[in-house]
Amino acid sequence: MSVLPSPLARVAESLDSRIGRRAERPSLWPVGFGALISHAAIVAFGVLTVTGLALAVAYRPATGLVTYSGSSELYDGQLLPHAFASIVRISEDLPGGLLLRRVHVAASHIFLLSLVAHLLRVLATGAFRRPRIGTHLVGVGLLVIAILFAYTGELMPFSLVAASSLRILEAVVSSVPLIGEPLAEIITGGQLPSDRVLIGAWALHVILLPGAFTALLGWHLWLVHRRTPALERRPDVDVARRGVGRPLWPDAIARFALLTAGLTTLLVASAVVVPWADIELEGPFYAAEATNSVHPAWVMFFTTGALRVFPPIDVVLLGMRITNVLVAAAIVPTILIGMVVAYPFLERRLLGDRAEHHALDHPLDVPLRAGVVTFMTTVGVLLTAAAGVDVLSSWTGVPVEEVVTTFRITLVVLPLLLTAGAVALSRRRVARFAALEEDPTVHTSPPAEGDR
Amino acid sequence: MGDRDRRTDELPEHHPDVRHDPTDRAPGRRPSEPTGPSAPDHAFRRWWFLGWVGASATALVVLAALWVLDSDIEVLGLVGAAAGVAATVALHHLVVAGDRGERTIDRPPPVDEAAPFVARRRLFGGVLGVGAVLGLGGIGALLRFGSRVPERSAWTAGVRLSTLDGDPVRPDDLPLGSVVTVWPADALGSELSAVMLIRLRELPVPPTELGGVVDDTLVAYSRLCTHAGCAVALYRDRDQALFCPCHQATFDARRGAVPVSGPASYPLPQLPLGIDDDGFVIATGDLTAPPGAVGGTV
Amino acid sequence: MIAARGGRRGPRVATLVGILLVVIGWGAVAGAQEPSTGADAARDQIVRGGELFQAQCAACHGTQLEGGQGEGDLAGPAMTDVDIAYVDLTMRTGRMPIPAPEVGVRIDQLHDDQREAINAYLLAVFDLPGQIPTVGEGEAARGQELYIRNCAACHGAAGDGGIAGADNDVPPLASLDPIALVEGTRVGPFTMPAFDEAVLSDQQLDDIVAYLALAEEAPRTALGVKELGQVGEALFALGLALLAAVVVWVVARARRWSPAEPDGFAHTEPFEPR
Repeated sequence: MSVLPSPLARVAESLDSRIGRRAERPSLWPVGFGALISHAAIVAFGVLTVTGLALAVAYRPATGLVTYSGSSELYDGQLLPHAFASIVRISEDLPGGLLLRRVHVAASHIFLLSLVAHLLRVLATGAFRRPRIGTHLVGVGLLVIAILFAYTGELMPFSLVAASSLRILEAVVSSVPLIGEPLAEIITGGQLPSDRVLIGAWALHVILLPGAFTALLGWHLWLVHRRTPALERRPDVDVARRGVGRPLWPDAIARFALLTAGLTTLLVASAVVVPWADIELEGPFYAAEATNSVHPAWVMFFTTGALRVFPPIDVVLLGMRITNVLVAAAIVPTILIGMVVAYPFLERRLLGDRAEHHALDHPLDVPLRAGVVTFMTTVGVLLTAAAGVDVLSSWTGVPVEEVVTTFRITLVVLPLLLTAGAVALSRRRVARFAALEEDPTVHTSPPAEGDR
Repeated sequence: MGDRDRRTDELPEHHPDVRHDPTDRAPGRRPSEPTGPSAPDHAFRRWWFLGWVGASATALVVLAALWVLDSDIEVLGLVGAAAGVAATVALHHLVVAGDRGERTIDRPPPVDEAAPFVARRRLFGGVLGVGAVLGLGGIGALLRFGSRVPERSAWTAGVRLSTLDGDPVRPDDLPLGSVVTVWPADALGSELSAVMLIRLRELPVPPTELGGVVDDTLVAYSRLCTHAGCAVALYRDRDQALFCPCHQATFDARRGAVPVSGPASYPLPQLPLGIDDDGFVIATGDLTAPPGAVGGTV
Repeated sequence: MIAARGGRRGPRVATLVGILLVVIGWGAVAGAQEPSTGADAARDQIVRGGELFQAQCAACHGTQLEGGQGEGDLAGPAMTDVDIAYVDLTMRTGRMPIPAPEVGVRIDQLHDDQREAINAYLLAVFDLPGQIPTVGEGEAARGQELYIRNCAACHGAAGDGGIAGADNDVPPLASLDPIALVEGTRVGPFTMPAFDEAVLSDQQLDDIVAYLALAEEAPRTALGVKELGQVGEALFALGLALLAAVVVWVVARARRWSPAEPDGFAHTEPFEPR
């Protein structure tokens, strides 16, 4: 039976008999495309951990000026912030340092993109329903940690963008009524640059966030195992009553190893042709300076986009000033993430559906869900795109003020239009199934091409 | 085959989760259908697998050597990618040859997801209570002891405007339509005190504080945006506007730096200027408002 | 329209002839005082510059630099007080002349010797203020801080340009030649503010030029990409994600691709705990 090379086969057989057969319930590992999206995030997290550990050895979280001497033509003999100097040293002087930095950044892109894709799949297919609400909430925690990873990672080289980035962070925190300003004072230490904020970013990025992410990831996977994976419907197995999947060994592990090898190869190859992490021309931190076209890491684009397009409307009441900064960078992200957190409870309440569901839905199976997911996705994508108004303006030649106006209108109109469209499509689909249940013979003839 | 047929028979007729998709053109498709020839060539497969493993290991050894020799990123990356490709092919073989196939289990009995928290109600209630007390206490401490004074610049009356090199500025140093960033002589490079000294093309008009304008067209504004605190470092000489590269807020330098487009709501603070006895430009007071973003507390 | 232009052509030709006579006369006097071939060459250059100017520039800027009388592009500004560095900058960067075939202006980009001839003509005949600057050796490392503090907000930290709002484009600096960079900094063309010697000394300008040369020569990858901004990086990240999706798809479909499928392994055996 076995077609593995004999030594591996023996290991495989013995491990499978230990892990799978004697456990109370063996783990099931779906290996379809949708399931593997989340595996890609885990692979990327592994690559981030390995490269990050190597980089952490040579990084120095300090803002004091030191003289860099090394093989960088531009910076040799210059006074640089210690953090920036250590990044230049990693890139230019340590063997393979630039490759490690580029792979680290490339892996962060895959990490965040696959997390977002996984979240969208969960929301669209209803994988968050009982008994997986807890799994979903832990997953949202993982996403929030990932966003914090991206922000602190962007800060750590202490390059020129950090000057704007830190000021904006301070502005956003200060915009919270009453407690904001003292809180910002605590975070940044008032005058910038301050060691405090950089050491804070370093501690978060290198110690606290990896620890928290690993712990939550373990909890997430344990919950997936306990609740058994939610599965796409299939004709041969009633996935609502039976879980179907691969054993951990060798199927899932071999596939995970294959995915690791494939994605790592892709990341390393991309680091040769795309200068992911190069910051030498961006220059070190200078207080009160900015470069044209300032953007944060892309995962924060939605807050930047909101900051760019939200009109200057301030409301003053009861000694509080509700600024557009507060709305754009604090309230809107909180609402978006809050909607992701609250939606399972909302859907359970509105549809009165307290049953457990193990089968994944088609994205259009529930009109409410189709609408909400479309709305959130459209708003998120539009706000993300709005972060590039300056780049769009310079590409198209349209004045940036008009691009911003276009985005303001689009942000009001398009989400509603698409939501209405998704709800209508979904209702049609539901109606078709209702007709099917009344007259099952409809099902036997394949639908016409125009129906698809 | 028999196994699968048996399970298909188990399917309930109208289970809510087993709806047949009318758009599915092949409703009988089986994702795990056994296919392919059944004449395994064991020796070939083994050498195929071991060959790629060997290739990958060799490339990794070469990579390690090149790493120690401090090769260029292109060389390291290509050798690393080669090792990765070989490993991928080998592992691909492992997957296609070693898969055991699917297994099924019963779904677990329904669970109450809140049960663990309800069962440890006192523990979690305690944690929540302590958290709430600490949070409220923290907010109270912030309100009571936190810094209430807005951050101020280092500008005072009589301080000379100096470039980063510490050179004081004369009005003649700024020809028509030029701009320079200046600091107080005793706080060079300080972020909150950075000020843009601008030679306008036309006479400024209110709401500019005309008393703070010297040499007819020399005005000074804080460099920090009132929107989100970025450096409003971009000056357009053509329409005498200051433009923020972070969020595209635009301020009219001729009219007291009031916002004219973009997301800012408040004008940039102006620095009142004067000329001292030696002919250098000085400040005659602090900025008209605290520098930086306008906070959420009135 | 044609009649109007024809009506103006007579006086313009007369003026041209007059100017040429003046120039030749001036050159003859100068040549008599300094009998050298260098002077002859200079005179030839001025004459050539005069011809070029009257043919390529005068239609919009006037034969006496008084400004154009036409409409649109033909209403060029008066040039009597314009810094020669500004004039040189516009020609050097290809902004002038603007081709206008209807008045005979067909040149898009002047050659170096054509440009120098026009400069010589404008300096000799109209005595424009200023001078064409020179560029010396600079130190890139010092230049970077100066560049970031004075230039990067508009032109971007790596000199890639961008936007300045209200339909103002900021040109990239990387491809400009050093003299144009210095001229632009000093005169402040178009929307750009000017930087006087008190703000940026000549040596500091040389440093900035050296930094921009270094930024231009920054290493590029095999794709021809140098350092990316965050938006560029995000777009590349989307491309990377598509490739990663292909990898994930291959892994998900691994078994179907193999010619070496083991026999009959794809059955789902119900699990029964022992």
